[in-house]
Amino acid sequence: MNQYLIVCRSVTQAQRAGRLLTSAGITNRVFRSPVGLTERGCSYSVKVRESSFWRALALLRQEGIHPVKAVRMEGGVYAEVPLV
Amino acid sequence: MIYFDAAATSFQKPRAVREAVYRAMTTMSSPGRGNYASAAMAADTLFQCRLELGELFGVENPEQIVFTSNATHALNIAIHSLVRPGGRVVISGYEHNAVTRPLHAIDGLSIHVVNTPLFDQEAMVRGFQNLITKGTDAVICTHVSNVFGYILPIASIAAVCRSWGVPLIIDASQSAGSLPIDQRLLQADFIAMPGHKGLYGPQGTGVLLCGREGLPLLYGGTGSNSRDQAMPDFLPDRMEAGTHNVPGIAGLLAGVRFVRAMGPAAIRRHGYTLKERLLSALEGDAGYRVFGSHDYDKQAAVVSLLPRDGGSEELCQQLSDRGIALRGGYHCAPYAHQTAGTIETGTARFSVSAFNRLSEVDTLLRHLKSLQK
Repeated sequence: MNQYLIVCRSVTQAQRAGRLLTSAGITNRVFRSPVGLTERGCSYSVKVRESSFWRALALLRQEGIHPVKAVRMEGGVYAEVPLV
Repeated sequence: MIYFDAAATSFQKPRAVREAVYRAMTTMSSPGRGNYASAAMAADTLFQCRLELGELFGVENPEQIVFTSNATHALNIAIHSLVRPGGRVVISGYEHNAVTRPLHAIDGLSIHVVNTPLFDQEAMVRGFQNLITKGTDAVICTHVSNVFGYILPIASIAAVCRSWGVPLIIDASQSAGSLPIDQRLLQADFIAMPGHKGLYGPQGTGVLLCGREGLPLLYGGTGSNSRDQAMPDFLPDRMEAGTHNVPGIAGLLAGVRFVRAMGPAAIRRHGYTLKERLLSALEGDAGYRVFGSHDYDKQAAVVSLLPRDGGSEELCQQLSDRGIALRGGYHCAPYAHQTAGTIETGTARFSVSAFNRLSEVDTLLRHLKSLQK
């Protein structure tokens, strides 16, 4: 199953996102982003299932949480998902 | 020892604070530095503390809560963010050196002091109205005088600032944990507070509530944007360079929970009861000059007093010899003494926490009376 990583600017933002998604019943996990996901270096991501991704993104935006980017993880390969 | 120096630091802490510090020291490493369990526990603790501070002080976004070493550190960040060389600021005249020394270190700064009598809140508001002008860099105002317990009308002062579009920095060192502070209502640009006084956390903890972005005072690692040599442009990382005081913040979280469980209003009422006992007993005493107001909304649980014959430090030494801790001298607030007319003498300061009892005040009163004989 594909996973989506919602890349956040800081551990605090990622934790905030994770708590929000949990309270909305969306299973997620906060962890350090793999190196190379952002050009600026270390960041934190929130991992969600493919089926939850767009709902999660909408919820986060509704609460003013704007991720740095999002990527789809498929077979160990990351592909950026346009956030429009 | 009977401890009446909570305005400096609340010495008696809830047991949960000590336990949280110990637990953090034995189970937590650095937040934001790894996926392993000890780093995650540290990160969770910091985040939970931000959340609960936010609930206590009306800050909805935990990213706007910055951990500092103390209130002085927090105030320095706020002042550094808003006040420029050659600029103009307005202060109440009851500020601590944590405010006035950073201001005096800024070249060419014009510092305007409202300077109105103790406990006259209306005159204070009028004073700010008269001194604030368009282009004022910032108003920096203490919420409660650390010397006299004078509660400044901060909501009215905040309204004046908003009407002029002038940024406001509040020093909540003596009010956080006992007086209502709601960032949503005050809309202050920054509110600085210590963790180790009315929030009952360990020394070495402080908090800056940010109503806006600011400038970093320290530069260094944040666990974010590591390839970038500029500090992150987002809170809280922008203001939190270096390793956090994780045990301290874990203790602070326990302290905040203690305050929330007891209730700031109940803590304030308790302080008022003790303060009133002292004030009422000393008002008619020819041996002491006491600075107080019986108005619940004008004085917090901090009272200055002065022996009619003798110095404040000497009095505190005599009390210390009898096992009672009060602080004498200037309390790092010469502006406040200048404003109140006690700059030549200083004062002896009585201040209480949730752990003090009426019987302790009675003991102090007995010693104060006996020292007059």
